[in-house]
Amino acid sequence: MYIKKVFKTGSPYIWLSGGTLTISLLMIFGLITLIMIKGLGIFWPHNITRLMLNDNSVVLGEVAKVEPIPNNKGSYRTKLKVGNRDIYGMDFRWVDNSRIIYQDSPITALTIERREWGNMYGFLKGMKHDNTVEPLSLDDLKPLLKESKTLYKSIRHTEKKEIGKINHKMEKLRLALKSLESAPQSDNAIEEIGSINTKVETLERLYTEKVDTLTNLYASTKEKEVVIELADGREETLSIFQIVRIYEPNHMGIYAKSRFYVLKFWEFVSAEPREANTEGGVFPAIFGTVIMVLIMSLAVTPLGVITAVFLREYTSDNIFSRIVRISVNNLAGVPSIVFGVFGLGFFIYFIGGGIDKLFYSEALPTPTFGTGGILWASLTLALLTVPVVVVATEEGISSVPNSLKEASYGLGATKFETLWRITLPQATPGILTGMILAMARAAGEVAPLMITGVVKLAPSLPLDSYSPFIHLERKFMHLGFHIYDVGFQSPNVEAALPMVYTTTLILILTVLVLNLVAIIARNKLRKKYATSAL
Amino acid sequence: MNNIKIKNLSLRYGKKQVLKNINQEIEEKKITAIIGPSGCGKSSLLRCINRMNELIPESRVDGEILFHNKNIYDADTDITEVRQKIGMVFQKANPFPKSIYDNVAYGLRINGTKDKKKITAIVERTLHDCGLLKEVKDRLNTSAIQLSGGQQQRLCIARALAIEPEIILMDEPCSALDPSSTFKIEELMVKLKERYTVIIVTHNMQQAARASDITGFLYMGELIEYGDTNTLFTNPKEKLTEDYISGNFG
Repeated sequence: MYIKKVFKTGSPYIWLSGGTLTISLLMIFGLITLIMIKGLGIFWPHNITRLMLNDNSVVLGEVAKVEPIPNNKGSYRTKLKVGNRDIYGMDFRWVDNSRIIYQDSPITALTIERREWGNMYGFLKGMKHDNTVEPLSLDDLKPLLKESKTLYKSIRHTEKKEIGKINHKMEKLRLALKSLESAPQSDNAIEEIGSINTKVETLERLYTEKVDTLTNLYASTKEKEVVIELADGREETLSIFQIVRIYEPNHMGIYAKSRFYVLKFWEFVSAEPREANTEGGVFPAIFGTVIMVLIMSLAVTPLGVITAVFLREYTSDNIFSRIVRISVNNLAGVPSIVFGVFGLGFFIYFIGGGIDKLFYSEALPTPTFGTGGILWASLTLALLTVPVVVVATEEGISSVPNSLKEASYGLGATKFETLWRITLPQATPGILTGMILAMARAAGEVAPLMITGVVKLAPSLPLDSYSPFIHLERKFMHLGFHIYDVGFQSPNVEAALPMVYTTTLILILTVLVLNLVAIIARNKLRKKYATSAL
Repeated sequence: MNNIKIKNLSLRYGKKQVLKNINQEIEEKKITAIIGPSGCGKSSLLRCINRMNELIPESRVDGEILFHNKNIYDADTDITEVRQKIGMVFQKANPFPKSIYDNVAYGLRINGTKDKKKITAIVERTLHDCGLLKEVKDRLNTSAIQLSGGQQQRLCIARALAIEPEIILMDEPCSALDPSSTFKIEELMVKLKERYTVIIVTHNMQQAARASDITGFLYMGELIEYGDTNTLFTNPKEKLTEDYISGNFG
């Protein structure tokens, strides 16, 4: 009887719903906290520990983890990141704590980030001169590092900018030549072929010159080498050019470490990836994600809005409109990989192939649009998210008060004028809500992208300084795919694992920023179109 | 003179007959009031005159409404032109969520007026005609939503006047307003009849008696009595009318 009374008051249901809400929120916060803890830690310069083991061997590295050994109470083992993958063959080593005789943190121990093979841990022995080693302090090394950095930059510049430009021009001339040759011969054409050939020759000469400069530059990278002493006393020579960063973590104070952390983080969001994506930054992936989401929104909004307008304003409730509505809603439940396959078949092979035949026939059989690219991936995602926009827009349109439409009709406006001047502006917040949901969905989708244009490493961004500036046919990088790639496809999964968390964090942040922009816009509009202030 | 003739007008919403065989001639530059109990079809009759009923699905009109001796229900009639010539003010003030200026200019703009000076002149003139200009002069570009209920309704009248209609239909324009706002609108109506033909639906009999020249009494979809306001209120011909105006039902 009493229980019945309590249930009648409704408070158990309030507690139930409040409880589930709390649990959901806690889970979300827990997820984000986990990602933040795991992801934000990797840029912090960890101290280097030196362990002397009972077989008189010495190991040097960062302590990654200490855990109890199962079934053996009171004993622990340590996971040490020893680096030097080229020498030891692996990045991590497990050490039983019972084997450690002596443990210290030498201040002169160095962490060396290299362009290849990951980190190196050791001590600076000196500069190599022929066969002798001259002592060298860390401070003396700094200007040399700066030099090598400029060298690296000029190599990149020659490779990417200068040779890239020549290649770009050559490709254009080659295509022009090809189309001239396939056309019927005329005096004019022969003359033109001649002029193109001379241009090609000049370019080729220029190209050889650039390649020579590049060879010289590469040769000079091997000139200066330092000698590093490893933990076990072995000495390794390392070309200064290979060093990205060198520092003594045991010697750094909290301020120096924080500064280092910020710089590393900035590198992560602004630089290109190195070493099969396990080092360096994720900038191309952030860029690709944002551009893809923007193109997707540009495509999905008109499509969804027009569909919704048709369903709401131009059809009455008949069998046809019901079928359309059911189909649209069911689209939301189709597995995303199916959309990917559709995109591959329809957009890439059918439309892209058609565009190639019509406009890029001289480049065939190399496809231009007939292969995966950012445009096709965006359009595929646009199809995927159309139901979201349709439903939200319909809701937005149906919330426009009838009295406003009547007022407009009463002034002699046609249906279209009323739609354009009254209904759609009023429904804009609803449309934007749909767009926000679509963006959130699209930014996280990976499966359909894998067959419509995402790649592990894109040689160039879809936006650059060569006309026509936006290259929609290019393949691109995406944060979601990057996570998968770094976490499961990289040669060094264990070392790259923290990167997975950090990239996840960046993905969440990117989606958050995109959504915030849309939400702010929506709230501004909502205020503008509020129908009642009374 | 009359410029609207309603001939044998019947209206159905689906199977439900709302208006039965209405015959009525509306006199020019007079205020015609239509009174009657709730649900008798007053508003429906009004909405037939500028074809607003067509927005309701399943509505069907039989009979004719002649405007300048042309049936507005003819197939070749331009419906937007009809609505421009026969403007409408609704029961609940429904200003667009735009600025006061844009509200009044809306009708001009959709009818293709581009000249900004002309639009401004018309906006100011119609606002002045509705006695609103003094009150809102300094905030023409603020949102119309912030006006009071009575001001909003007068703005809606101004909006309807801006496109120079010949006839203004008012569907219980004062039902949501306080007495002083009601008074202002009645005053305005009297002023308007110098230039426009006004047809007003109201359930407020005092209002009909005060403001109108001609009154029609509608009951269960039929026009029971139609004639000079004074005569109808003081000396009704029909028993039903007498019962209604004396408050015996309704």
